[in-house]
Amino acid sequence: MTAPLVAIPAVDREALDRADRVIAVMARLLARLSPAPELVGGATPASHLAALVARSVYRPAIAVLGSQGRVAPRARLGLLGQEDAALAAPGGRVGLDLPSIFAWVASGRFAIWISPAQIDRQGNTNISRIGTGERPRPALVGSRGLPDDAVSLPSGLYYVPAHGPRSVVAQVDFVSGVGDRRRLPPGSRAPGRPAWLVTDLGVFDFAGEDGSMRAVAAFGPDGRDAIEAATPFALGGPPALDVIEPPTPAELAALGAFDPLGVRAVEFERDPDRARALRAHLRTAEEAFLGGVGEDILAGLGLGLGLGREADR
Amino acid sequence: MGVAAVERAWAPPAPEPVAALAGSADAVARAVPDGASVAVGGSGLARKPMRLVEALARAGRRDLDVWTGVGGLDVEVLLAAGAVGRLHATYVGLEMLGLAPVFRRLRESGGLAFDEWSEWTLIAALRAAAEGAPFAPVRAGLGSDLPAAHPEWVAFASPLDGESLLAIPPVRPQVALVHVDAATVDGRAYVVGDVHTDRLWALAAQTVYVSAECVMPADWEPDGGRLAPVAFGPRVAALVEAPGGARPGGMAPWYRPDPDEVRALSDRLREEAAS
Repeated sequence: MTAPLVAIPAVDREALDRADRVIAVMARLLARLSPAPELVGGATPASHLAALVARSVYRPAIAVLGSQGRVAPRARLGLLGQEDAALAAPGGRVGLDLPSIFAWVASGRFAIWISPAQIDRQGNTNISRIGTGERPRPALVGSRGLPDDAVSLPSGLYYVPAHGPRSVVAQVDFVSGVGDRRRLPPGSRAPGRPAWLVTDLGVFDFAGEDGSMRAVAAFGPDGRDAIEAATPFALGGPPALDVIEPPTPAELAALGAFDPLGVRAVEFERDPDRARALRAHLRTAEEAFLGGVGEDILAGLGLGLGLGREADR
Repeated sequence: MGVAAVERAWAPPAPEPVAALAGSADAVARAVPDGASVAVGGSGLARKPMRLVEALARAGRRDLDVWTGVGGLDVEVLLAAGAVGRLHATYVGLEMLGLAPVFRRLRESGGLAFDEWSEWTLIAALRAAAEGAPFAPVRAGLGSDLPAAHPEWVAFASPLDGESLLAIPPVRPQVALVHVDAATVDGRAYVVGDVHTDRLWALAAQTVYVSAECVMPADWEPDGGRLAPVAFGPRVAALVEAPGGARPGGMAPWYRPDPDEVRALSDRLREEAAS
């Protein structure tokens, strides 16, 4: 295990703990998927880490999609300088281009944790825009691969770092990824279905009436109350929710090894000023870590980072 | 071909000189007319042909039909310059630095003709173009809000088993701009890292303009198979040597995006667009 080279500011301990709790559960759910995915992607730090933790702690057969389209079992967040070495080594280039990756997606052999700006009662997701009509506010980034993942992946995996009425909504403003099967045309045999939503409050499935969201487990003993207070629609599921086990030592060790800089805390930081400070800190830490030697780790961090916060403005 | 030409086919042809493709980004921009459909390779902040895109903006191009998979500062540059008539993309943003401000403002003010694609539908359209097929069948996009904005996507039932699918017609941009690691003087273009969708863009487009980190002699061959060819042949119409050609974005494994410079350019473009 690699010790952190740069200390994470103490102020972010809570965000880091939140991240660890959520990502550990994401890793467990990923490891239990049936049928098992062949290839697991990472759209964000939490998404990437869940795949790496699932592989290292629970399910070694999972192949993790690394940066540069590489199938990279040793991929590390904030340690992508090592990937540079692999990339530069003779014969080291084993990347999949985007059309190849989409062959795995289309055949349903792919899994990925996605962080939508909005997810609704039926598991529809939105990363395109807030507000309906001609003039969205804010306009977000565009649906990217969500429409494709949603119809293809037999277990759609979604997470929301800050569960609240802006992110977990009765109905999304724009359907990027379809969750509600009734929206599909008659005769569709699209295998995609939403399977799980993990938020900082608990775990949700879509096994309610007409595929609606149910609360099934919570991070605390009074979980149901906290969840209902933060959710603008009625949730199915048992009145008393199962309490989720905290991260195990093995999960924590893997998180620390794959993300020694604590990049994962940024997504789970609730205070915008502290999030900004943490990003600046991580930038410095990465420079020190990588020595300024090339790899677009920052770009690799993906579309979700910053998106939720922008949407809250 | 006439009978006379066939009779001469086995005679030794006159040797052609090695194509002289070396040019400047500004010359490329002059060769792209207003209103042209222009595809931009790379993805997000990675391996974008920034020098070629900036030259289009500098040349004052108007009404371009701009295509890209995952857009970043490339799209921001063209939008801020008022060069875009219509934008076709799956995403425009600055990755970890958040939303793309020019794209965002224009969408929010209703001032942008934006065709929102998904990654698979776009790949399907390019594949259809590359293969000369009338359409590519996909499940992608079904049930989402994308098809409502794409009258050219046609729902149909599979003739084999009746499954409901979408027919995505080919997309054939007039021009593709790609930035690569190395290219030979006669236009073989190679990428070390992620190819993204560049090979399909180059196949689908009528003309390909390449900028390259370094230009190699015509008889150069890459070693060890680590360089993937993305474009070559007569459709490669010009080659621009552009070290750091993706900056301030990144180009693995050579350089990473510089967040400070990305932010600075983004801020400058936002002010330019507002004025």
